[in-house]
Amino acid sequence: MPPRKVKGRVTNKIKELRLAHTSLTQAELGARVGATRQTIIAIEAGKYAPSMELAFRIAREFDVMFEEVFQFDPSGS
Amino acid sequence: MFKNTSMMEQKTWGSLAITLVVCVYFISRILGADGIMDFSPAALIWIYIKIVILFIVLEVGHVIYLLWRNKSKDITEDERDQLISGKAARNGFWMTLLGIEAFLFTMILQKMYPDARILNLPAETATDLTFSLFMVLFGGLLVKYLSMLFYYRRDI
Repeated sequence: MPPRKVKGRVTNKIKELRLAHTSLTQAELGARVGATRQTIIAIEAGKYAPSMELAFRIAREFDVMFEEVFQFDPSGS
Repeated sequence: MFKNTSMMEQKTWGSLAITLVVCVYFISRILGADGIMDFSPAALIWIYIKIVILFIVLEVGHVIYLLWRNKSKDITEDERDQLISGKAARNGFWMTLLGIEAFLFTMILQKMYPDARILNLPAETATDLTFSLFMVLFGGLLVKYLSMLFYYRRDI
């Protein structure tokens, strides 16, 4: 039996949090959490799912719970 | 063109260009008007040493330039760069392995059917073998760098 294709996609609210709370630029956020500006751009656009460690660092930077930054959309692909 | 790219993506473009330059230099040294020239073992080893030195000098100069150009950036490499590099290295490895396997199987077939000249692969002299193996290695490197650029552009 072929393996079932699992659906699901990680979404995030980094851009909203970044602009609403801290007015950080993507480069500044990247420097604080140990990522390049290009990686922050890719994460914000939903094209790259960060590692658990980086995701926790980002949440910690905004001083919010992990779930407030990252959500799981089970119907996404 | 490179304004919005990370240092590692800039490095990939540079390494791709360096590989092409060294590849063209190697081909120009080995190939003559009548195809692959025949070199003495000493001359062949000297070409090999020159290729290695050229690679090292160009790559070191390139990295020094990139570090100077990106000196204001706090982060020059992160987990996404490492992920992309790892995936691309795997593609390059498979390309190299495939090339070596194809080369060896073609040689075996040529030995089994000497009159057939299946692919007419140059494998008569040491220069022929060096040329073929270097082409496989250059192919592997090119696949690696092109894969990296593809992954950067696709935003993984």
